[in-house]
Amino acid sequence: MRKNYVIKGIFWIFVYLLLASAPLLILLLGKMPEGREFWREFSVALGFAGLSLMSLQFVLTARFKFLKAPYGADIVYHFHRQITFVALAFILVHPLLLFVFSPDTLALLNLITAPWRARAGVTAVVLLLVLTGMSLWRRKMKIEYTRWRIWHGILATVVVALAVTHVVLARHYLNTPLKQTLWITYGIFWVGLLAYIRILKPFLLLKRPYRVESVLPERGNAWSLTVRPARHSGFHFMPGQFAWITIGNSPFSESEHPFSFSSSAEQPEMLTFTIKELGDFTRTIKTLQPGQVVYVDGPFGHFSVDRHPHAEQFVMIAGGVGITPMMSMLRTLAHRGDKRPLTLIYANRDWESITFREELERLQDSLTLKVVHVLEKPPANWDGEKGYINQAILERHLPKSDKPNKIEIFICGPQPMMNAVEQGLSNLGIPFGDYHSEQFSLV
Amino acid sequence: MRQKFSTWLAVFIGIVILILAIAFALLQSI
Repeated sequence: MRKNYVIKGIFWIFVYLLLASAPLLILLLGKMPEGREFWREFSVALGFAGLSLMSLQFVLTARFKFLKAPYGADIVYHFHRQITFVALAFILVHPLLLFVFSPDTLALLNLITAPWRARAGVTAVVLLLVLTGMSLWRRKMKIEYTRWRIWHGILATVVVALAVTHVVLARHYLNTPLKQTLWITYGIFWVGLLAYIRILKPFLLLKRPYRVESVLPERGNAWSLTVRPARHSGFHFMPGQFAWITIGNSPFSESEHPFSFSSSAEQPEMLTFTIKELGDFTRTIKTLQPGQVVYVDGPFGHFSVDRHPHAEQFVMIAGGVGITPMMSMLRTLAHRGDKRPLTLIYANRDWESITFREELERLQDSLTLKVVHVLEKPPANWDGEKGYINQAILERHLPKSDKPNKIEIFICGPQPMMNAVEQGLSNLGIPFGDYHSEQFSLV
Repeated sequence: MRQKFSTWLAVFIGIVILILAIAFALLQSI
């Protein structure tokens, strides 16, 4: 199964490279416009490459399951973020080369006297800088997530539209019907993609609403929200996966947030999400009333025991609300009567804030489960692990095995914890392919 | 650790496209 995902992963990287370089490759076909000096052509090539990468950002964030399955949603979103810097560099160097080698082009910066092609180009670059800045410093700028998401979508669309306008008005590389067809196809593909994301997908969700069954408090300032499909059969998911939830209004709303399932995958007719109160949106979960409508777009993610059927045992390392996907996996394995050995290393602030503490104790009766609590502020008589999960704790509690690929390790929690755990596992010589993590706080 | 993969992938794709852009410019300007 892993080999299958590796092949798919390489395939999509190849497709991405092909799509990203397609404008450059196709522009070389057919009759070429009159050649100009190297730096001007290099500048133009970088502009086309930057536009191509920016357009592909819409594909990366369109939540295509086939695209995310080989890597995991967090990798795709992180790549979306990192490739922005590459595209931004290309796009910024595009005019800079012109300014350096043809200083007369500096006059194009004067938007009052500049031709429309330059106005479109300059505005696109300025808006792209705003878009990137808003994403990098959203928290510092105190921009609320939902508001940021709306503006992120609007700005991205305007930037690409202006950039295409810039290309069309510049005309230099639209000298043959083939190249004109390329850009028309490119435009249709892009508009079609936007229509799919903004119209078709929400419309399909509209026909598959869910209703709130219950909202129950959990330890650790968290709430378990249970929803049932209304007049449809719902969907199957793998334990450990997540979905995007939109509460009330309509699925066309931009106010949607990703949460892991905490319920058993063997009960798909009832989905539970356990959500910690961390921000404006999560604080509203407790106010939901039974019967209220929510929309669930999922499942997504590759973080699941079901992707590793060959494993002889599993280790789960969770911090705080990172227990949610682990709980879904544990509940599912209990439902299935799975007897493979399981180790859960679970870090929390104190004994009272351990979400699912009692249920974990009960699960030890039905599963071959060892739970290791790690407490930052343990009670006076605590003789268990203290502080943060570190290499020494991992060494003490990880099952010993000299066979790679037989113990699969899942990590979910705050980023510093995940970094420390991954470093610890690496130091202990655990093969990179044997541990898995997924994180979502990217902006 | 996993994020390093996407960072290096972005760098790799950036380099490949940069090489293509240079080749494009060379072909056009010769």
